[in-house]
Amino acid sequence: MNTILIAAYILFATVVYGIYLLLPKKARPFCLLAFSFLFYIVYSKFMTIFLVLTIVTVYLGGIGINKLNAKFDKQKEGLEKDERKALKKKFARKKRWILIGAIVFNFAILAVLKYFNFFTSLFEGFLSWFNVSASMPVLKLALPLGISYYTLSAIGYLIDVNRGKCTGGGFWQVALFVSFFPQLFEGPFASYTELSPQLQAGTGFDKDNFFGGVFKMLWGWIKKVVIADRLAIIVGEVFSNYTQYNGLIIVIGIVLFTFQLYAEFSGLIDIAQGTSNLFGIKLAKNFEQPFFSQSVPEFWRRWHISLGNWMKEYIFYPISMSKGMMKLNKKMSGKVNTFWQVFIPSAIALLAVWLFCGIWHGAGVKYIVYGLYYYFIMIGGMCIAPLSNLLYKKTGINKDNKFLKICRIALTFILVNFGMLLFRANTLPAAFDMFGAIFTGGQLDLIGLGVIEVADVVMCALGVCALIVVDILKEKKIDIKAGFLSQKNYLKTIILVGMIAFVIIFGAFGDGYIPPDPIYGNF
Amino acid sequence: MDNMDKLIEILKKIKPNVDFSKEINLIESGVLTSFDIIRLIVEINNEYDVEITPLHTTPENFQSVDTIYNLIEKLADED
Repeated sequence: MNTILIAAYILFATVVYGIYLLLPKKARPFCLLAFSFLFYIVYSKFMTIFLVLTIVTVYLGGIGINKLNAKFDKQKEGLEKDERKALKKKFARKKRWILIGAIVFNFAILAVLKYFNFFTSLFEGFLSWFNVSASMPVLKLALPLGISYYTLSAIGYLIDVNRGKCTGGGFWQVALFVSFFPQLFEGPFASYTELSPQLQAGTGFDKDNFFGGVFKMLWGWIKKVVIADRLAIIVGEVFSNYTQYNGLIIVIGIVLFTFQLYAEFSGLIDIAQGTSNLFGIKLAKNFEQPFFSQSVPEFWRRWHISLGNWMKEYIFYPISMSKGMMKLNKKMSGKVNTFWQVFIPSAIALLAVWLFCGIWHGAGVKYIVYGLYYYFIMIGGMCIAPLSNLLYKKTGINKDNKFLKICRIALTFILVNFGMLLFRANTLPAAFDMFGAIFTGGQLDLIGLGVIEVADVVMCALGVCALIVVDILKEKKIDIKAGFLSQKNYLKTIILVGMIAFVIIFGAFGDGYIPPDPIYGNF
Repeated sequence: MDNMDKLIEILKKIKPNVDFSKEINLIESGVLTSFDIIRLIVEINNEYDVEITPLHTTPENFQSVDTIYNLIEKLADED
């Protein structure tokens, strides 16, 4: 999303908000639905059909599951406990087929549109091992907007219906849940039970929702346009021409990419959350000061939180607690240390999680390696944990002392940055080359080369400092938004106007700037 | 040792420094991570001969000692 697109989006949200407020309460959800679809059709045109297919299949799946539940409730009356159990199993099997059918159908859409070219290139590579050359067709289709986001949210909804976590909604409720426009670009992933009631509430004007929502949207815009797009100048240069650089410049490029990604991704999430605030809707949290993490697992509990929660709910727990795993655990019970009873199912489930996470991030071998990188770190951490706990116990060292905390934060930051190198590098070989180049010393002057001007370097530094300061305040539970909302209305208005002016004056757009593609966009 | 005491003993094995009699937000406050939940479920399934499935791994069921205990009793009744 470049600056013009963000500005257009904010204008669109303003128009929707105005019309929304003019309508009676019952009509407001339909207003959101209509404008979400208008937004989608303008952006993705005929690819909207895939959004419709997902909505229809999960809606019908929910209906099917609910009908089976109603049938079971009727038939179980008067049965003995064992007969009820057997009947429950029979209906569970039927519901599972509906669920599997809908999941396979929707993942197939995603697989074809997003991964077709990747799979065919893998197949070509496989054939080349046998000296068979084949030219596979190449699919040249733009991805439907947000397909990786809304597909997972929709599947999560259907799984929740199957689990009995929710009874499912009417067609328009499901349609709005899947297509709600603020979350289409970069999420966050939504849970039906949390989001749908808010979407249907038709909340009217609320001063705090209005000011708070606009404040959040503008802060997100500043993060994206002033900070992220400016950092992209240095990052783009270093990663595109890495063979010309080494040592400190490579390190700076990687670290600045980490902050660029954080500023952009969290900025666009802020815009989505701020927009939703206007309508009295609270989207799921997606970031929680991730660079204060003391371990890689903690980092992934603080970074892209909604994706982590989705994978935990729908991949990690189902695999680690599957019937097969529980049977294995029962066999191991009393014969092996509990460590293995936890480690084995967790390791298998985590492999599925990280392969999924890697592939979700992109169609390429590089992304699989990216996922496996974090997998091996987590497995290693699980193996080391009992030893390090023993060490702390034997030595009497307090593992929560400040020095050790800072060491763990620093180590986690370094590990995360290596992950970011894998993610951002143009290719896997490029990532390894850049890693090697870090240790060859030397430095080059980006300003002297004309890559970036002094003013932009200063703004980059200030931007990174601003991100860090805001996160420090949040980590100390200082609520900046609450502080803003406690001001008088005229002061709040001045601050908001000032933020808009700040974007216009200091945004990295216009002559001399090339707007970068959104990193998490086109997912 | 009654069932509640057994449960507290299991929780203390997983997180020795936590006062489980006072904690009521074990999941939301991050006291119990997903790995802790898996370990807890393994220990509960072993100790109480119940079967906790992914259907039950909701934050509501694992927020406190009391909610975990209620889950165990409910599953024991179903079995």
